[in-house]
Amino acid sequence: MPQLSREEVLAKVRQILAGDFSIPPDKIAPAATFRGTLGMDSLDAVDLIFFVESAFGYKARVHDYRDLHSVDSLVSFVLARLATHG
Amino acid sequence: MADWDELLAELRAQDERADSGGGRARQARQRKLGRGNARERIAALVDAGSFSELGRHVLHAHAADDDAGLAAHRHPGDGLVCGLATVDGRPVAVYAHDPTVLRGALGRAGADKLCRLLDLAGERRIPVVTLADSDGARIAEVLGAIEGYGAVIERTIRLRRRSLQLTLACGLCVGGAAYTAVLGDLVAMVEGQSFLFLTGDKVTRVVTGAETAIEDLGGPPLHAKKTGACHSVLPDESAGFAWLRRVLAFTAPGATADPTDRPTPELAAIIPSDARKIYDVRRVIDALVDAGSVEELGAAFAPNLVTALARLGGRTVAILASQPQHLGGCLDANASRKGADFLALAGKLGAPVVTLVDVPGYLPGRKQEEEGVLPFGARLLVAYGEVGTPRVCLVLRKSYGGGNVLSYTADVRLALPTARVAPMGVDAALEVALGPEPEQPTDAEREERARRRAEWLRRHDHGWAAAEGGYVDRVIDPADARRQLHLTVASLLLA
Repeated sequence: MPQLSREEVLAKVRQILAGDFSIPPDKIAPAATFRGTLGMDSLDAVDLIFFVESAFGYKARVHDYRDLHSVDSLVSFVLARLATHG
Repeated sequence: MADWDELLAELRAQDERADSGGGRARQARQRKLGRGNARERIAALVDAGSFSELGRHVLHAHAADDDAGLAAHRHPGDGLVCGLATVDGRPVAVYAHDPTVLRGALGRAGADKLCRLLDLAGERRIPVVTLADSDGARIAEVLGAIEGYGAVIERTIRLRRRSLQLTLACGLCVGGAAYTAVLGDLVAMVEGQSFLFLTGDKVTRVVTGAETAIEDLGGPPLHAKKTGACHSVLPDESAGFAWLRRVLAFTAPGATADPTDRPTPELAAIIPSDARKIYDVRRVIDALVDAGSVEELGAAFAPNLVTALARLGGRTVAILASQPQHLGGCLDANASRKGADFLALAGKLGAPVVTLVDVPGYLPGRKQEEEGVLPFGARLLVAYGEVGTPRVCLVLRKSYGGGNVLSYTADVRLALPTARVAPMGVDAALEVALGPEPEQPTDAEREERARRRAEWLRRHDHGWAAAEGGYVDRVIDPADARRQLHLTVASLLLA
């Protein structure tokens, strides 16, 4: 996958959250928290991991995501994964 | 009155509503996640065209003015698809939660039709297969949810004596759904998408204040390795359906091209005659039973006791085997619990029990006592005593101390020439027989002790001691072990 910018990763994550979780796009700000702002629960989180990994073409352990609480932190995680694992 | 065209159009519309579960969009999302929907899962398991559905058009009774907001989720079938079918020609009762309807949470209407299915299964003594994907009880229905799950759990318990109950956890499995899974006989989970727990992370956080990840509360590794509630972890749903078909096949005899008198000379190469050397007992099982017939269950939990279904001359047998690769084959609290549960399954399947013994004893120590080695050891003994099917044991090498629980209740005891049966291990028995060694023994004392030691070993530490004493019925050649086991099981079934 070609090098993606932060904006491109954010756009894709927003697309997943809006499309697959029916979350209104205006709520999906970088600072939005999954549990608080977006009203997601733990099972949603498991599904989100599946969609994100499918979209960006990498695989990580579920435990690696445990400290990610906001959209922005997920974007940073994806960028780091793509940088180290191509 | 409506004419046929109108009636059939209405029927087609109702069928479409039933097939679409919680909506085609939600179903599409399931597929995008690589997961099946309720009817797709059932279709993937059962014989084509064999599914006869019950309660296909059932609706819950909550009206539009209901304050729980359930009116928006009034879908035919009420989030549960169930019915009778066949798997490889054998009848089963099967149900699948529909995760697209309120995440598969069970309401009163769904519970009522599930109770009907369980009653039908119990009356006919046919296996029940659950394809679980449920948030538990439908809390919005308040008392109706509790009453509904209560009735389901009461039937699940009653069925324990009558029908094999298998669960493939395809997704979330919470509260009552988790209980009904573990009240059954076997549970399999799918990597990355199955979670089985009584209390979810939200309630855990509220009650304990601790953030706990969902996979730590009930993911496959937890239940496969630590709690023992999961007997197999599969990479995806289709592997899960194949697992269910393999297990269901053990409910009936099967054909085999493997001769029952096939020599097994490889046992002498697999099992070192030196009792201190380890080996993989699963290779022994593979050599003894019909080729390719082994289905190990609970492999990751208490691996010091292997439990597996297999076939011997086409007949289903339940194998328990000490595994020298783990804890030297010692029994412990977890292995006892695993063995007891497996014996209950053997009894339900009517499967003769074959126990391969190479056990140095029970694992000693305070930790084991605290973990309940005594009550669980007793449970294992009771399970052997109550299994109700023929029990044959083959002592491969050691059968020491409390480890003799594996052979006490056997109807027939066989042994290889390497076998040693004793109330305790050789070193400990010598300590008792010879007494404590003097701190500074004289040469004469040392010589006398060596003489007594050699004499004790000559009299007690050989493969024939237990046979001469009558505890072991026959000492057999490892190359003849498969034929001997088959002969012994067959003779007990005829007796």
